[in-house]
Amino acid sequence: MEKVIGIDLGTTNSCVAIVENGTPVVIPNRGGYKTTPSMVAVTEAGKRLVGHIAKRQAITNAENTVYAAKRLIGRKWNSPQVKNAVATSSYKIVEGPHQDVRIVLRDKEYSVPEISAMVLQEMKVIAEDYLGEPVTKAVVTVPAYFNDNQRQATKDAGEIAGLDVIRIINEPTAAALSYGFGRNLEKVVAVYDFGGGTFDISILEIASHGVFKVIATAGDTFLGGEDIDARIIDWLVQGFKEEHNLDLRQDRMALQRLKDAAEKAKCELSSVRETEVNLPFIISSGRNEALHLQRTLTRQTLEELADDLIERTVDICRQTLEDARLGKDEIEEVILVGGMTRMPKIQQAVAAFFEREPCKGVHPDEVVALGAGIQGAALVDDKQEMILLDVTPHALGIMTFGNVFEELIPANTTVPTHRTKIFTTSRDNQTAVKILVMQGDPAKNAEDNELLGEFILTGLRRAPKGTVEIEVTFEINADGIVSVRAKDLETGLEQSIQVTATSGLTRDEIKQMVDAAKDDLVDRRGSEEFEAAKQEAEKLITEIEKLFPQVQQVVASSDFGRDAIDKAKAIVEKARAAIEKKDVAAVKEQIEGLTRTHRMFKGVVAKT
Amino acid sequence: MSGTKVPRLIGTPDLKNLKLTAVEGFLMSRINGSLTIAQIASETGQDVEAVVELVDKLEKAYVVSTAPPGQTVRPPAPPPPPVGPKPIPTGRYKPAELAEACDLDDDQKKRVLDLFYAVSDCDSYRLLGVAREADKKAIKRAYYEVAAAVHPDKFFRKNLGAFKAKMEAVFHRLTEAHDTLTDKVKRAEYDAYLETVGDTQELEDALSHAAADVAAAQEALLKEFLDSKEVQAAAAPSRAPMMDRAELTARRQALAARLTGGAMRPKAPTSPGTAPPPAAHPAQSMSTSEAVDALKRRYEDKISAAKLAQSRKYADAAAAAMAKGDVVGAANAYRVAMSFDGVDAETAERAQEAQQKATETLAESYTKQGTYEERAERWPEAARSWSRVAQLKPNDPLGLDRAANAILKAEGDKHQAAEYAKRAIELSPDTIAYRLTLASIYVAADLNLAAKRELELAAKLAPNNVAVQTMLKKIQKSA
Repeated sequence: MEKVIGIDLGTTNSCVAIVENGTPVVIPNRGGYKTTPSMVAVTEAGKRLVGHIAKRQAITNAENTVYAAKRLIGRKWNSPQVKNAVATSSYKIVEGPHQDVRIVLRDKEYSVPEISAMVLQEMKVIAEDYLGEPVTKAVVTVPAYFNDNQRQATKDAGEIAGLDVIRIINEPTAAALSYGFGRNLEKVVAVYDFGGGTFDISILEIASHGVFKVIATAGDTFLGGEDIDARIIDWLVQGFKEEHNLDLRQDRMALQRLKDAAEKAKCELSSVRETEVNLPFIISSGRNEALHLQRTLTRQTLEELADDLIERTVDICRQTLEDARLGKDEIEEVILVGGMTRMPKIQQAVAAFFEREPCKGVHPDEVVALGAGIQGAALVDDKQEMILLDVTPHALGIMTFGNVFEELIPANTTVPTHRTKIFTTSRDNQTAVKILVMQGDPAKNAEDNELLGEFILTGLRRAPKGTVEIEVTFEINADGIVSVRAKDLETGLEQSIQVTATSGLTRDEIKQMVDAAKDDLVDRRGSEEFEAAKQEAEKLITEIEKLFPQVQQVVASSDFGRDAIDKAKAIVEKARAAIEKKDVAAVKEQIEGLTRTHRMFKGVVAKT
Repeated sequence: MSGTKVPRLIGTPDLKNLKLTAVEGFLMSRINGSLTIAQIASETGQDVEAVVELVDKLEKAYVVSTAPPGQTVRPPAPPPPPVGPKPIPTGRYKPAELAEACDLDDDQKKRVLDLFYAVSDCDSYRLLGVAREADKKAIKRAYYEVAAAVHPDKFFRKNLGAFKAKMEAVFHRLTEAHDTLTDKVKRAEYDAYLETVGDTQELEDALSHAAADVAAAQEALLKEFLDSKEVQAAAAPSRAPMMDRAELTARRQALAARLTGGAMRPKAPTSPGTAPPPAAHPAQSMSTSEAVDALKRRYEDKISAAKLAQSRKYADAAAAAMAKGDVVGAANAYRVAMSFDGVDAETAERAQEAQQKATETLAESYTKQGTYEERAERWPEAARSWSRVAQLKPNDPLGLDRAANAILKAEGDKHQAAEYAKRAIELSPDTIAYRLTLASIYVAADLNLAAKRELELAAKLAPNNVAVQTMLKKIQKSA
């Protein structure tokens, strides 16, 4: 049975896990860390960096280092969130050809799924190194409140990275899977997931027969630790401006340093009461002199800065509990997920709202990836007794006359499901209707919701408005794929689409990117392996050559000795050729011969 | 059991569930309520014992009865009192459906198919396999068990063929059932609805028993008479004392038929197979014509007295039932009472009253049921319920209109819908809504002219009715 990895593709950090012999484990990266920064950079030399190394050089290469790409994935160029990101990011964001978002690194434009693909590819490589075999299947998590476009974009990213994303699951759900896995519980739990970029709350029932049923879920895809960092940056920038009348935001490098310092300060304040932000030589004053930033940030100040954000999460919790038709007393456990939940103020707020101490048993950074791994194993392994009954987080419907969002499938409906409604024509003699498939909040105008797809049903009878009836059926299957069918009840004519949400990329573009990434992947894995072999071979060659004169002196007198020297020379030659050709396999083959020669030479020298 | 018994089928048995051998199936196919066991044996070339054995077996399964009709042997009050819920019916799929090649094993396939067919006609409790009084926890557990078994993820990326859609449909319905039964308000509404359905069914059953009760009462009367000494003596002349019991019975039945001039035939425990006296002894029963005449007179006197007594007995019982508020019981008892001649006018009047009340009760029950079904947009069910209301209260325009409307929504028989709508209008010509219903039916049936005519009539009655005007405009434009 093929192994399926679970990837938590986070805003700031990513994590990969797998179920091994029935136990879910997080796979550490080569540095031994269990999480990897979701950062991607391109160096001056055009080299692509992902993870820790990208993060380490972020300050010196701010313009070409992408962080928090997840906040942009699947979003339209003209959305307020993108506008906000354009204003605050140290990297350049431009408009793509399909009103999508592109990121410019060293004069090259990348789509957001492409950037995310680099992170996914890194996670894939980490898993492959650990398992010692290729991995092609993954379950990837997304914030519960992601819409279909964002989910599709994430799936595309997986495809570009050479992964078959067999299922997208929600982060809080994954956390609950990990919490309840193999424990035979029957409990109603709330998962409060406050991560780097998004906030989610899910209420689930962990039930008998290995069933995990999501009751309700909600969130805000633009509310996370990054927003708290931004508050700290604002506070620092504002203070600096008051002191020196200089705007640090004008300097991309200064901004990146501020960002780093803000994140660090925020983390520190989870354990200490105050911390010093110290950024020497942050900016030039313009008079050939550098200015320094030095301020003390207290936990209290931070809590004040973040107060309304925390309040917002509590409001969403309240609403979700209402949607679930549950009282606080019916929640039997509260699970905290995401780095932000380390903040004492947040823990207090959650405990105060739910009137119970949150569970301390799960690791907030790893639990989501573990859950994804568990779901992956459950899908492909018949022996796994686990079924996840998920809900659709957003209402689905169509846009009707007068810009009205007509709901067909309400939010929090267990999938798979289907619903049918009958509509009529809105104009006299209307012979065609356009079905606009929308996702979002029925309380809003249709146009303020996400458009998932559209199609046209033609051949209607010419009749006064309101007389021709069209039956519209929505269906969501277990894979979360939405299909919509419209049927003219008079003629029986039917038209349908399978909604493949738009990630901002066309099919062709994705294919191109897949091909490009495939080359890239092969290239990259090859070069790493090659580098290692090359270094070893070169070391041996140097040693052998160092010993050559001595050995020659000793053995030159015998035929056997001359023969041996010739052979050694040939091996070195072959090894050099293999290195030249960048042929990993050949180099490895020669290493064996080189090692033997080296041992022999050392033996000869030692005897004399 | 002797070879002269006449086995007959009770209702239409579910043949698949009987587990018969081919021979048994063949034998069973001969059971028609007129052939005796011996005749079946000779016709099929089987041993009498084999037939007796089969009939015995079938009788135990309550599929066949050898008792005279009327004394129908009802299964002893639902055999083993239902511990827990009634399981969903099984095996209603076509063999081809089961045979479809896919990655499910036969048991899984059967489960999905049984559930799939149960979706349309089993209530939510039965579908989930829980008792009516099950608590929330039990309902959830039951749901989780069956949902986990049919969730498509259980067979991720497996070839499920047509089963995939079926599983999703079943899952959808199970989830709906779970959502209804785990929500206090929704469950209360649903329970009230189911109770109404149950009540209605009970009322229907009770009222339909009346016919059986009548038959049973008359039969009892006849039996009493036949068992009397005079009849015994007349039917069994001393020169043939050695007749076996079966023959005796046959003779008595023949006598009864002659005495009542055939009037009792349908109710008497006779069937073509045994009714005529055995052909071998025609003379014996014909020889005492005078005795028969005398007997006949005496029978008539006796029978009319007995009838009157029976009639009173039932009328009294009916009055008592009425007093207790058991409308259905009263109506049934009155119906039996009325089946005897010579009932007085007062009883007749009361009987009619009771009948009316029973009908009203039943109609009320159906009204409740139909209202819920309408609200839940279960149109086929609503159409059925409202149609019953329309039949029970053919002079209630509201019920007729609801029936017409429900049939229209359920895409049912438009003729029937139109009939109901027309009758509603006839009863209440001034109600515009009824005319609108009829017009909608005409439109649905593509009879725009008729719809127009109806709407114009409505417009005359209520010139300012917006609905009428809008619909009229629609039709004129499309014409």
